[in-house]
Amino acid sequence: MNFLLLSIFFPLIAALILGAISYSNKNIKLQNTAVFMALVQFILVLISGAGIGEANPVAFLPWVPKFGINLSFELSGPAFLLTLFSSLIFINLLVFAGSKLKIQHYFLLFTVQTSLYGALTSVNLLLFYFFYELMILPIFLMLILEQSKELKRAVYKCIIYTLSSSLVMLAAIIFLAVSAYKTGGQISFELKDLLNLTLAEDTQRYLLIAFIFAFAVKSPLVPFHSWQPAIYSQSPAFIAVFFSSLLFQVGIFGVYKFCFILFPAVISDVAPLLSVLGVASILLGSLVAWRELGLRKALAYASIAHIGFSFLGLGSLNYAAVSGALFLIITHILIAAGLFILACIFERNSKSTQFAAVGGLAKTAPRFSFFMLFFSLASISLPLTASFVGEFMVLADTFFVYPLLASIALLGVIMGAVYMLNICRQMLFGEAHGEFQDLTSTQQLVLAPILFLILLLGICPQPVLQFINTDTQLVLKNIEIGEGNIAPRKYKLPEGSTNLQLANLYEDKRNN
Amino acid sequence: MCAELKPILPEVILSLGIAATMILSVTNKKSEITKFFAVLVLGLVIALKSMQFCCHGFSDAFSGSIRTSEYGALFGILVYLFAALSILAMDNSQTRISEKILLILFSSLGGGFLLISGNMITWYISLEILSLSAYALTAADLKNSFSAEAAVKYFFQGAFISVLILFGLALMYGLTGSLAFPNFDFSSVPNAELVKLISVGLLLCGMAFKIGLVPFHYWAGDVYQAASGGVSAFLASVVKVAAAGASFFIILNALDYFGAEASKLIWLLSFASILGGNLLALFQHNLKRMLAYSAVAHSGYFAIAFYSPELVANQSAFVFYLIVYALTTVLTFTFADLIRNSENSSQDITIENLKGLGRRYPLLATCFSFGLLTLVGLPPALAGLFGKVFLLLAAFNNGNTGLVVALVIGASISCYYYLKPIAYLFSADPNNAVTLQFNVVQKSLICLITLILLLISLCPVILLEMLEKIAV
Repeated sequence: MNFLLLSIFFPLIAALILGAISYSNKNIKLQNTAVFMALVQFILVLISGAGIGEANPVAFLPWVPKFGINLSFELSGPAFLLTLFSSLIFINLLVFAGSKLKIQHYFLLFTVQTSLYGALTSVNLLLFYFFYELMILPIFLMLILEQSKELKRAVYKCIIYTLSSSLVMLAAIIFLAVSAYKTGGQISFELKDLLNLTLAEDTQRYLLIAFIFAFAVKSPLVPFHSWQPAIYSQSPAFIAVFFSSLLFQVGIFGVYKFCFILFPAVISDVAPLLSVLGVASILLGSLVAWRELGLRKALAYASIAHIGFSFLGLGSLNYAAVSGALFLIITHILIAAGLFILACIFERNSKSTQFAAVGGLAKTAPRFSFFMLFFSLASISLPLTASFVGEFMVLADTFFVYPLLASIALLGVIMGAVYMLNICRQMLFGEAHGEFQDLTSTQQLVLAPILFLILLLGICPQPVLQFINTDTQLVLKNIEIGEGNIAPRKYKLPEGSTNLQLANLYEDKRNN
Repeated sequence: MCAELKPILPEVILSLGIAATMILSVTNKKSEITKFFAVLVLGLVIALKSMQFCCHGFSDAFSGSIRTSEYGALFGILVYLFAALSILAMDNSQTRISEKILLILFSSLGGGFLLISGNMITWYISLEILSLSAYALTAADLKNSFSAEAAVKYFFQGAFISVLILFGLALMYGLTGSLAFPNFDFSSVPNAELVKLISVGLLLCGMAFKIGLVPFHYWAGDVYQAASGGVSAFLASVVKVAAAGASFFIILNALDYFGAEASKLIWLLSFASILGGNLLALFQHNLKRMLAYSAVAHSGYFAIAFYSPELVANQSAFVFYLIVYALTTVLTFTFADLIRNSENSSQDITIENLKGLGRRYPLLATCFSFGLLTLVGLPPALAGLFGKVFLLLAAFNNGNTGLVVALVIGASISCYYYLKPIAYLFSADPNNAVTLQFNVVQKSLICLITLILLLISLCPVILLEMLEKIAV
């Protein structure tokens, strides 16, 4: 029983089961069943992670063997963590938003989960593309039926933007497959077959840019971010929580997983661009978030800023920075989930999207204020919260490589504090005005585990970092560092992990 | 004599079937009987053609006038299959339904012969049978002035192009002295490069008209919009399949002699069709017209595979895409014809008219959306995406980055005008006056085609294994 395959396709089965249940009985309350399915999914993901470190779990089913398109998945350390935390947050979000979701939302959200897990774990490039694109249709269907004209415009912009960029990536993927055919005589989209291509450096650079363009639009990264704030702020709040916390991962993780592995020779030429755009994201996100008056729009720009930190780390190609970048993805899942849940509650209770509409919540709604303040401090990366760990790793190691960029990014940390604390000041402190109902116990029950996880990861990140570090070391060992970069520090591989698939490949490649 | 008849046995049976259908249509008041009999005849012919599919290599008959092959057999099966589906898609209350059925049968006979012809004369006559029946089909609703207008446009342009094709054939005959076609042989003609080029060029442009490539696409919008139920599905699928299949051989041979020029021509046609078709479709309000221009764009997509047709990968890509495209076209045009406004016509249905139809007819709307998604190439409609992937593989194999860029741009443009109807279908609009009028056969047809597309999406190997056999 291949738990990896099951954990990837289980949400789809769950969606069909939910559809079947609701078809036979139109009035049934689906929330409990959905939460149960999400719980089962979490357990499946947990079980499927058995053996990471010694031998990554793999799944392989031939699909179109003549063209090298197969269902091949591999659960590496970071992918396991991302799927684990995604499934955990999905449970929380279902408990939170479940009462307002209808059957079509459940069906589409579970489909998005399948596509997310598939995209994170697939090692066949075309399969990755299929799952990557599969995310688009549910988002479109969920949002396009709302009444707001601005939302419709935002949805079309998002869809066409992401679709065009991923088509460019498709062209690059197919070029790689054709190159594999021309050198090896067999078309293959498998990652392991595409590692040994010897293409001209210029060609590699173009392909790398194509991949990075697609991931930059998806993440989003400045200057391709214009689709994001409109969608995050205009869509119904209880749907926005889902994709604001779950969908950005594929972009950042895709850069790490595919660009670093496929193009080791030229990545060091393009990586500075990633860092520069990352810093631009941090600055732009923070500055605009500061001036925004709408809560969800400010949080959307704050998301852009946080994602900028990940790209800054990825672009420096240093061990701790890249590990920190991946760790930051996990923390951003948690923090974005918390913040957007709070934003949803805020909009529901205060009937307004502006955070200045209600004030003095520290007195009138102390529980809400507690969570709001905590998540704001987590977003600012206060020490003891998880994001501090990630940001410190990113900034410290990037400072060795790009001191100027790291210093400017530090400004971004300060600005992060500025806009978040500004929001808190206007919303929580000051004169009490506006009606606001405090958090119900269900809502506290949803937020408390996220808070606990953020604290846990902040105080004790090593177990999680261990999964990430092993993989990062393998990936980065192979990348040629150009002049000016200090040689990466060496970490020791954990005992007994020498027979990882990628480890063998890299050993062979370096020995030949 | 009987041995000679064996290669064209399916077509002979079809001719006899047409005669029988004619008699049946006159003696019978109910059009359902004519319809089902026609489908029965086509089914029999498909079965016979499938037996021909299992033969190996080329075989000549009638002193070279007929040249059967697996390729010709497969395309013949496709032609007859989509003709049968189009007949099933016709609704029974149309005017002159028996004439339309007969014309469809004649047209598909022409299409079938087109693909097994070995001789210029057979080829041209088959092409004319295909085209003239198509012109008449467009005009079949004479009371509708728009149909008449579209038919006149189609006829005049088509007749002009047919004359040019004939001129090209005449030049070719004058040069080579032999009637062999489409496997013409210029090797015995040492000089007169310009004349050879002109003859091949005229032929290619003529075929480009039949397929509907830009800049020979002007008839497509009017004809597909004006044609009534089932007929537009037929025109968009069968005529295109037959013409595309026939062009493949011509291009194969043309490239032997005029590699550079012919490639350039195909490149231009493909590039212009992809961009032009998508841009034209983007600005349409009428549903059927939008589908018509998207058909032009899809012709541009599979024309990418014409660039180096001798490679097996290109052939598989071409036929795979053609099959998926034709199935989806029958699906979408059938659905578009089911929509009736208050005057009981489907011609003037705009995309805004689709509002709310999905809530009232969820199954059909889902099938239509699946068809549109296949045309975009978005998962879960993987059939269309596989088609585009194979075409891109073919394009990169040929070294054609320009066409890849065009496909990427075209697909990005197309996603807007394909997703908009889906959005309108499932939005709520209780005041919408349009309805869907369908019978059981049409509904089953739409669902069946959706299931086939889903099957191809999940398991494309079924189709690919069949396509491996027809390597030319």
